[in-house]
Amino acid sequence: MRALSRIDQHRGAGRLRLRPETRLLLMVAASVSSLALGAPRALALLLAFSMLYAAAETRPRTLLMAYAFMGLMCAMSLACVWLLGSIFPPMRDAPLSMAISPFLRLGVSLNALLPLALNSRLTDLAMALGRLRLPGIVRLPLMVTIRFIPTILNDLVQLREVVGIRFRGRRGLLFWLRHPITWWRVFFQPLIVRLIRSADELAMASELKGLEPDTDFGGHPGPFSADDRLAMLMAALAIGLSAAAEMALRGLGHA
Amino acid sequence: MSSKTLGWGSALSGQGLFETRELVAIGLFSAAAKASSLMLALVGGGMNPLTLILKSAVQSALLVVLLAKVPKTGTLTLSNLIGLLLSFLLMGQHVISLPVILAGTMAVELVAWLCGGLARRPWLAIPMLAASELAIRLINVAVSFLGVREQPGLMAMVIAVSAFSYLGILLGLVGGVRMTRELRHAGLIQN
Amino acid sequence: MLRVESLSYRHAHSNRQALRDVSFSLAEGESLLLAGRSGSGKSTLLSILAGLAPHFLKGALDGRAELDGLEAGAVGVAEWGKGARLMLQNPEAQFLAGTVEEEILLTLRCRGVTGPEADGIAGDRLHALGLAPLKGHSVFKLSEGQKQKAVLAALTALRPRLLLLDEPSANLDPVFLDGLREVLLRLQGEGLALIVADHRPYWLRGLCQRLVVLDGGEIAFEGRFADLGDPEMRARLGLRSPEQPRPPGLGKPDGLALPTFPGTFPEPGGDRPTGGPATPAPGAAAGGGGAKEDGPPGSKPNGAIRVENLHFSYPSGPELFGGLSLSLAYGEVTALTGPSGRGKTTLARLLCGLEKPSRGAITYDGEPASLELAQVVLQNADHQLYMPTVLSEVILALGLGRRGPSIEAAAMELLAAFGLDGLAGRHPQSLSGGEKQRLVVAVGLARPTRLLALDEPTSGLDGHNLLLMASQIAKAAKAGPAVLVVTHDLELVGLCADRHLELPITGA
Repeated sequence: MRALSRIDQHRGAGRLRLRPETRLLLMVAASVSSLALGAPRALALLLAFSMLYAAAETRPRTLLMAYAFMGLMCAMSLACVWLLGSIFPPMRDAPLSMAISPFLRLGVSLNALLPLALNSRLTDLAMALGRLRLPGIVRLPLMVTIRFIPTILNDLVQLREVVGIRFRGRRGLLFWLRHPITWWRVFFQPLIVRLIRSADELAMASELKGLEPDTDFGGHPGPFSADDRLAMLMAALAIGLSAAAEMALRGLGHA
Repeated sequence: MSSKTLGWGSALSGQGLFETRELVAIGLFSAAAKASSLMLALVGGGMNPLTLILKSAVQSALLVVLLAKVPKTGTLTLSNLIGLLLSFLLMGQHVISLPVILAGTMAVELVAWLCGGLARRPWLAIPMLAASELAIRLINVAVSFLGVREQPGLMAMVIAVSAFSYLGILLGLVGGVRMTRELRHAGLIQN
Repeated sequence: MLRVESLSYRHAHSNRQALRDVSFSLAEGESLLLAGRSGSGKSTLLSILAGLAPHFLKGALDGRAELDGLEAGAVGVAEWGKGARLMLQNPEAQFLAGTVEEEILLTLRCRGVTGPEADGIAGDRLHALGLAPLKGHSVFKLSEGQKQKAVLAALTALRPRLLLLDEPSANLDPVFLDGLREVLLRLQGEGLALIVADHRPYWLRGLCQRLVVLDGGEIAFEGRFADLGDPEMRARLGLRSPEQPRPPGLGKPDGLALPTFPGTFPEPGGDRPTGGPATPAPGAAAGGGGAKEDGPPGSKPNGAIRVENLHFSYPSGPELFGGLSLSLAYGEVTALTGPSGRGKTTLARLLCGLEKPSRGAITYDGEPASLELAQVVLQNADHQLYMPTVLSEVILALGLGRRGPSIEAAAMELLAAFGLDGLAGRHPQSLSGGEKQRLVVAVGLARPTRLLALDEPTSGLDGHNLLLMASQIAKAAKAGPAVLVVTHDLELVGLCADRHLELPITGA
């Protein structure tokens, strides 16, 4: 919420210094276009463009780690398919060129997500949604959600510890599998009670502040920077080229 | 009524259904659903069937309690919207399915409203949640199919994940009803 | 400025009057201590004066509360909130923004103040409350005292006329309390009127001129702050002393009259805490940059729980202990005090095996410390109560789910010792804060252990329940285990501690 009064000064981290709105827009565009495209070569082209964007905005080590994780997930999925294919042979019939399309889509989405997730604070993202004219009825609960996730995570850590103390010597998985209702009670009930109390206190404090659902947290955005405009232009070009490639490949019967 | 309210129509007309305190409660319960599912995924691994069941059970039980605290038409849709937006912001998920899921949830809420609404018939929360969560999973399966249409074998995993999580939803409904009864007894939720 | 006339209030869904015929007034810049035992109606009165009833809290309000001619109930919460602001007991629950500066800016934006004007006001508030170096800090990383100051900065950004504070001392150590008192004095100097509801009055000396004591929702006493010096009145109304308590070994302060409750004090069976400072018992001298200890220096250690050459630091944090050695004796109550953040709770966690030392050893009769040998009661009572009734909560602790007449009788006996037997059938989460605090300590005492560690067991207790808790802690130690009490409450130390360890102040 740093942007309350001077959003135009605040941009996310990352080499391109893009506004969160730009990153959001790029992510949506990448996801939609990757779903629309079907030809593996067109998708590969889009993947290459998206890798350039991710490389410009993400540290190489982080990027490599993310790719390694994605590779692992893809390998697990392929193993699953292979297993199912050995039980139901028709499932093995898809040509390899087509089989890689889902993974190319996953790669495009990952490349578009990483700059957003790694370079933007959640509060800034919520602000960005506010500036995109999200109605107050959505903005206020979204702000509360984002503000309270760390608090609740901390509560859950404390809860685990308290249960460990109270049920010392009986903390193994087997004990909880044998007593699922006790598990439910000891973890869920304190969480719910805490939520209800916090909701009442925060609502009280909010009303006393004069906070209303239509309070504008978004500040007044400045104009998009040259980096923002360049990124959007490049994204449009990349999607256009990939779409053209798809149509050309279809025309040639390679799709 | 001094509390400022805002509802579906407020963005257009300035009149509303929700008070600030209700929006705060919806926000907090959404935070709890997200935080507990992150915690369970960290402890048990994201794709472990037990984790999938527990995550969904906690999520649906939270919704049961939320609907007891804010028994209004629109609560479920708003809560789902917040959850979807958060998944979108955190993980880039639900870009495509968001509008379809919202439409599905609104349709379920509309049916509940036609049946008398939550304020008059609190038990409607249970069939409403069961139906909307089923619709969400069906929509997710359909959207996933779009993404893996060239390799239908991958759908087996998607369907298994959806089945486990829906089993969790059903278990969570039972747990949520029991918990709500107890919270009413403790005076934490008013009748 | 503020006039309250024949104010009565009944909560929604309750048949009981929470407030009855309350009348008083307050002038500009005046400060009032609102005292009374737990459940006497202090928080309810503050909520009404903050404008929350009847709009937010619903319920039935009779009588009048007027602030500068504006009548409570006739205007909305937000409108009334321009004149009167309320600081709740848990400061973190009031933050909606991520950092200190953002919280002030958000508060201003809610009132339509934006741009350079808002920046100017925020800068002024940050400076006035000594928060300028913390302006960009995340609220999650602030200490309790800093959180309260940040909330105060936001609350006073638009210069309200009346500031209401609910139990501000509950989670603060004496050093932070001094800081809070200074801040409140500064705000009072700006013309702000204050109403402070608190169980610990000593830190309000010189700040509050007036006193109103509630009992059962009615005004039982109205007078000057100095009237708290009357021990008979304090005993009758369950109040704590207005004198600054001092730890044992440093000498009993002049005029300190530890409260006694003739005829009403629940006698724990001949145990010692009926007043007077604790006697320091023989114990090992602490060494190695850790705690300083009141007790005959150099006397022979008789403790069976030993800490030797303890080193500990959290990842990426400073070293909290650099070679600490001490011992805890079975059958004794050891009080551990010191400023927030110096490692009191961490030391208790290390002793119970919840944290592992970086170097050194903690042993129980030669066995390494572990959770199997210790019992720890943490601060947050809500996290420690799960069951549908108070009785089943204790039964779960006594027999881990097994029931039977003997377990049930033992549970009832334990509840009676803490004055909770009348609440056995209630849901634990429907109890008041003080009742829950007593229940979690009762649960902690339910199972035999070699070390019982209690973290801030009296933070929200009135004078009567403070004595009750002190007596039960002393009784627990007599039964065998070593008892470690981590606390900021020096009155408790005086009432039940055999030894007092104080972690050194390092310029915090």
